[in-house]
Amino acid sequence: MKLKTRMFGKTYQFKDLNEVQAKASEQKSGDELAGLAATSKEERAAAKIVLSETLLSDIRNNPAVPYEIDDVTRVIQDQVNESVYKEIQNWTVGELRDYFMQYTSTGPIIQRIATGLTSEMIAAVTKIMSNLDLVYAARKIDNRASCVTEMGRPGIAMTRALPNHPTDNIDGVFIELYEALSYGIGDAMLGLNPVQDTVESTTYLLEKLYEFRMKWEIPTQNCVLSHLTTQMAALQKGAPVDMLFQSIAGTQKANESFGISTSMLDEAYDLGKKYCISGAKNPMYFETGEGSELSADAHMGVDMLTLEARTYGYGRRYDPFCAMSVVGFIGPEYIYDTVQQIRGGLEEHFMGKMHLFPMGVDVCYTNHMPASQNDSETLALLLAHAGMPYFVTAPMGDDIMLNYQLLGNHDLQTILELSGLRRDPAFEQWLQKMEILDDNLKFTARAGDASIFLK
Amino acid sequence: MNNEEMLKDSIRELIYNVIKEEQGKQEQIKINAGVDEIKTCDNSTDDGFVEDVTVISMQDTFCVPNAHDPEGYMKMKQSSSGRLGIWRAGPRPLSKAYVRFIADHAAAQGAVWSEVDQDIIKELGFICLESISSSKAEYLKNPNTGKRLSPESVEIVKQNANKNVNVQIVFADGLSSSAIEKNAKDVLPALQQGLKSLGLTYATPFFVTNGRVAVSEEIGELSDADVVVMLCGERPGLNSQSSLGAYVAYKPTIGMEESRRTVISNIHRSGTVPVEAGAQIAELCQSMIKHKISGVELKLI
Repeated sequence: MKLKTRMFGKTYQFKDLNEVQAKASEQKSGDELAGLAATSKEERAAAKIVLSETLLSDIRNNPAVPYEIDDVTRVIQDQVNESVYKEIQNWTVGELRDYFMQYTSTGPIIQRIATGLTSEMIAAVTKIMSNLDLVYAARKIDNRASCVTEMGRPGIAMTRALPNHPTDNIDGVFIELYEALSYGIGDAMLGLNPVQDTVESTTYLLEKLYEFRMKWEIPTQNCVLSHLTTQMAALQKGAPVDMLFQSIAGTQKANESFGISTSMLDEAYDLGKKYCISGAKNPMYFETGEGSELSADAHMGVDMLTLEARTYGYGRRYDPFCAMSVVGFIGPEYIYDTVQQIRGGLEEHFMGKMHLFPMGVDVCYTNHMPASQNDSETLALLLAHAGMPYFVTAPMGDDIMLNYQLLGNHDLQTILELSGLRRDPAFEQWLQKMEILDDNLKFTARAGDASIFLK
Repeated sequence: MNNEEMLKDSIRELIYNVIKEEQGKQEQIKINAGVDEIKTCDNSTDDGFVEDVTVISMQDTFCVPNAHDPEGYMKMKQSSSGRLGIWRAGPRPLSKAYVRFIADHAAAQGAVWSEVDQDIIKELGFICLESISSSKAEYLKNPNTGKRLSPESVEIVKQNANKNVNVQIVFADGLSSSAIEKNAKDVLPALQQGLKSLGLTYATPFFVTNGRVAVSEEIGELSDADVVVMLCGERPGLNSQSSLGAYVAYKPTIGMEESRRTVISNIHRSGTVPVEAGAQIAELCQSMIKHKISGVELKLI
C-alpha cells in the first residue's frame, strides 16, 4: 500500500490508511476536535491523491476498526458479495469514481457494484468527489423499500411530517400533523419524536396515530421514535407499530452507548417482520449523524465520514425502509457552518444510496451554528437534484421540542414545482381527494388550512 | 386584549403623537432654514413605528383566510407554540411569517454570539473570569475550552474565594448571553435572599465569559465552597432565546459525572420564573448541605 506522495517538491507521508482517510476528508470541525483532520489544505490534497491511488483490496484488508474487536466491521465485511468484489478488487478509488461517472454506468450497474464494496471504500470514493459529482452519481441510483407504501421510486420525493411537541400534548401533536398534511406533507411517514420514553406513552401515541391514519385513509406509515427497546415492548403488547426506529452509529462501542447491540437489532427485525401492523417488507428505520461516535467517546481514531459510512453499512444488514442523517443537528463542534453542512448533506445522501436503501437527510441547523434557513434551502434544492427519496419538514422549519430548524412545510411543494418531482402517487391522489391539491398538482384554496381535519 | 397590552398600546400611541409633534416642529425649522437644508432631509420623514412583530405569541397568530373551522383551529393552536395557521402566498410563507422567523432567528443567534452587557455585570457586582477559549468560534468548535479557566482567572478565583462560605454562585454565558441579561437581575437577589433566610452564607458571584457548565467544577475545587450553583445560558430555540439553566452540585470536582448535578432548566419569563427559581435553588443548596450529596443520589432520598 502506498502511503506517501510528493507535491510541489514536498513529501507527504501518512502512517496508515485511517490517517489517509481522515486527512482526505473535507474540513469538518468534528475531525479537528478529534485531532484527526489535515493541518493544511496541501496536506488534505496530498491525502486525497494518495487515497485516489489506493486499491480497493487494500481498503478491504484494512478496515477502519479491526474485525476482531468490532461487530460493525464484522457486519460490513461479512455482507460483501465476494464475486462482485473479486471483479473490482484491483481498482483504485479513483477508478471507482470514474466508473460511477461513465454514461454506461446506470443505476442498476452501480447498485450491483455496490454489493461488492465495504463502507470504507464508499467513504473513500466520496472524499475524492466534488459536490456536483455527489449529486450526479446519487441521482442515478433509486433504492426501493416498502412499509405500508413504497419509497424510492424514481422521480418521487416524499416527506416525513415531524409533529414534535415539548410535552407530547396530544392536541399539540395533532394540530401539527393536520397542518403538515394540509401542506401535502407526510407520505414518507408521520414520525413523532416523543419526550417521554415509556411503553405506555409510546403505545398511546402509536394508537392515536394509527386511528388517525385509518380514519382518514392516509396512504402513509407511522413511527414513534422512542428507544428501540421501548417500541419492541409496545409491539409485543400489541401496539400498532408500522416500523421500528433506532439511532445507530459506526462502531460497536458507540452502539453500546446507545443501548443497542446486533443481537437486539436482529431480534427487532424479526419481531417487526412478524408483528408490524403495516405488513412491512422493510420494517426498520434508522437515524444517524456525523459526530455521534466522537460525542460518545467511541470514534476509535476514525474520521466522521468513514464512521458515518460504516453506520450505513451496519444499517444495511436490516434492509431498512429508510435511513436519515440529521446533518446539522449534532452541533457546531462536529459540523461547524454552512459549508460543512452542505457538503455533509451531499456526502451522506450519496453514501446512503451506495448502501442500497432509501436515504434521506434532515436538512437542518441549530442556532449555535453559523448557518441560516437560506443555507438549508440551498442544500434542499441540491438534494432534490440528487434524487433524494424523502425530506423532513416542520411548520416553518421550527421544531419546538428539539429546538432546531429544519425545512418548512411550505418548502416541499416549492421544491416539487421547481424540480418536476412528485409525491407518492397514492398520496397525491389522496391529497386531490381531500381537495388540497388541484389537477395540476398545485395547492388549492384549502391547502394550508389545518382545520379541514376538525370533524 | 389584557390590561398590560392595552396599557402598552396607549403608551405607544402617546409616543407616536409626541414624535409626530416633534417632527412637525423639526420640519418647520428645516423649511425656515432654507433650500440647502431641505435637500439633505428629503427622505428623513419618520411616520412612526413599523409594528413590533415579536410581541404577539405564536398561539395568537392566525392568518388563514376563510378557514373551515377558525374557532376549532385557534383552540388547537393554544396547545402548541409551533408556527401554525400562518398561511401562504402561492406555495411560499407570507411575508409576515417570514419576517417573524427572521427576527426570532436573529435573536437566537444574537444570544449565542453576543457578549453580556458590561453594565449588567457591573450592576450585579460580578467578579469577571474567562475560560481558555480565545474566541466564540473556538468556544463553539471545541466545547472543552469552555470548561477550564484561563490561568489569570484561576488566580482571580484563588484571591477572591472565601473558604468559609456555604455557597459559591457562578454565572456563565454558555450558549445565550441574553439569558444572563434577561434573568440574572431577578434570579440572583431571589437566590441570595433565599440563602440568607435559610441561614446559609455565600460569596460574591463569579461571571465566566465563554464558559460552559463544567467550568464550575474547577471553581468548586479552587473555592472549596460546599455547594456551587452554576447558572448558565441554554442553547436558544426560536421560541426561547433567553433560557437559563441552573446546575447545582455538592463539592464538585473536575471531570465528575453529570449525574452528580441537580438541574433546573428552562428558567425564563415564560418557563420557570426567575424569582421562583432563585428560591428553589436556595432550598436545593440547603438539602445538599444537609445530606452532603447532589444529583441523582439526592433524588433517591
